[in-house]
Amino acid sequence: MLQYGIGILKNGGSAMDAVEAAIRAVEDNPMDSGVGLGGTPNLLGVPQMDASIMDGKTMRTGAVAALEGYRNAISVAKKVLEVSPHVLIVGPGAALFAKIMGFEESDLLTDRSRRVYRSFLEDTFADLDDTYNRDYYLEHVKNSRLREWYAKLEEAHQGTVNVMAMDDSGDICSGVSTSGTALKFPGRVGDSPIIGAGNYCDNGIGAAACTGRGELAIRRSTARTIISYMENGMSVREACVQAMRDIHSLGETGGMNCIAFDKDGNTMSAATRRESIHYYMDADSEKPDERKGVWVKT
Amino acid sequence: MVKPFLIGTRNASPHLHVGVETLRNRGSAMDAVEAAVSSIEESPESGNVGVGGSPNILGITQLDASIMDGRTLRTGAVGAVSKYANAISIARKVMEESPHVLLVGDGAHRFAKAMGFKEWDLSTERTQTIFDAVRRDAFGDLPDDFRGKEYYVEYARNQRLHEWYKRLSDDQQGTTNVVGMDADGNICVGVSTSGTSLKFPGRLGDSPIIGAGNYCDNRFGGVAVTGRGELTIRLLSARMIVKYMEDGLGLEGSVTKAFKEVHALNEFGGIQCIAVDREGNTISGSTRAESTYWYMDVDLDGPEERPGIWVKAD
Repeated sequence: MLQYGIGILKNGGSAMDAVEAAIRAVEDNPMDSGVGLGGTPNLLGVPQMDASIMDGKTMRTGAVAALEGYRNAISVAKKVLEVSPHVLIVGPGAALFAKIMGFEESDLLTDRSRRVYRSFLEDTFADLDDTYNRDYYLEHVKNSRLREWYAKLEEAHQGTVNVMAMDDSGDICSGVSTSGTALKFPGRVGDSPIIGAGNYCDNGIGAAACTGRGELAIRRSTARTIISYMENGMSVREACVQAMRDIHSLGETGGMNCIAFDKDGNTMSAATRRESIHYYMDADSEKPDERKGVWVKT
Repeated sequence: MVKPFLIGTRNASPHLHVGVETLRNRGSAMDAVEAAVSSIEESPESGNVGVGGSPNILGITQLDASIMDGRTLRTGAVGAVSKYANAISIARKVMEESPHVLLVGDGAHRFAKAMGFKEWDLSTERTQTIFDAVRRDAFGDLPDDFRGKEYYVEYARNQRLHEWYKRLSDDQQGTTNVVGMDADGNICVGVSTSGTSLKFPGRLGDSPIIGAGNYCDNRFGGVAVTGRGELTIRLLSARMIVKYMEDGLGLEGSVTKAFKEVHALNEFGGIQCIAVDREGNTISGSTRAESTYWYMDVDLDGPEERPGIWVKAD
């Protein structure tokens, strides 16, 4: 979907408009199960979206979390940045804000995501029949302790989208959008809408964004820390590697991935438990270039 | 060895002794911070915290809180909680019992219910009086066809949210911060608030955002922040003060550098913080006034008011 953003950059558009356009295309794609339409729902079967966008020139940001009923969370986040005095709005308040700003409500469930949810219920609750309601699921989770429960689901997909861009004027923007961890506890907020955890940029230094088990990036302020490492003289590669080592040192389950670039446009990605790749496209590219990052092992 | 102590903001000072008692009984920094903050939350006189906390633009009190353990870097936080007073304890349960670190809104309520917390009505006569007064002041005479929620939505749309917020919300913050260190040198930071008065429903400030309003790491220090949270979210001020301590800038130098960054944003609104380093030295800072904080250790009979620093723009 990067080409949607590149089209904007080619026409002299801003990095922020390019990032928004590329992420909207991902959000609108029903086949992407980790973002926007078709995103995997939470434990109660409700898709809840998190997104954030940051402007590296002014350090202004906007974010939404646990947003229900709106497809383009990234655009609502951008509106929070542009129009509201706040930077992060969550839950029904976020939906109220989206409504006031004229966004169109839509059903984010697809046949596919309904099937995923249904098969999760059937796999998890052996004695499931139609008489059980949502409180039953929550009660079940509570009884088997939330942590153990989650460990079982831990490998369930995470499919956050990160897009970051630099425009003609050298302005940087980074954007993140996600439906969060599949079957998350209702109201769970990961790193995506948390500025400094899943998303950070600064024109003078570069940009960084994360995907993976967001709980870990929140504890380490990972995106902000990558920028800080670069500010202190590390290369973009060294900064990404050090940030992934910081994640390992927490000694927790779950993986983390980051992508970053510096103000000269050098790009890098890193991951804690798999090969890392990222995609690069500039105004002269015909198609995205797959680039290899670093697998940072323990 | 450091004498176990707590430091806190003005609204925390009448409650610090509750946490210090926990420290005297060899309780952990986390137990002490939770005890002090809970006492503040349950006191209707504390202003913008817990029961009696300031309402949002729809007249509903929504609480945010976070707690962080400097030894393990584990954290828990909740946002937009309107049915429970003990936000800091729910945040701690998120840390201890859930696989997540931040739960908001209705999901946080479901979690609190599952964990057996008692529901509270957060509104008091005082919050209603304040809300009515501010509402009259901000909206003038309410029209006869006043339609509640729709009215505010319409108002926000017409007036542009920025102007509305700037007029109503400057200087109304009253977040509580408590930072503690125990006999083992463990640091814990707790933050609890009802957020900015008349905020947009669901607005989160820096209090539940780890790195923005709250951060600690035993190896370097701990920081809690109050003020216009929108600014510290953008800068990750608490995280950066701890990072600057790691970089060797010292307690005062770290607060000064982070607060210069707040000034450099050139936005309205001020920021204050309280902080400790790993040796147990303490400080407070403010971007726009003389700053003080309250200190109490296990040998003191009551909290001591101590001067902090005023970090001015260059």
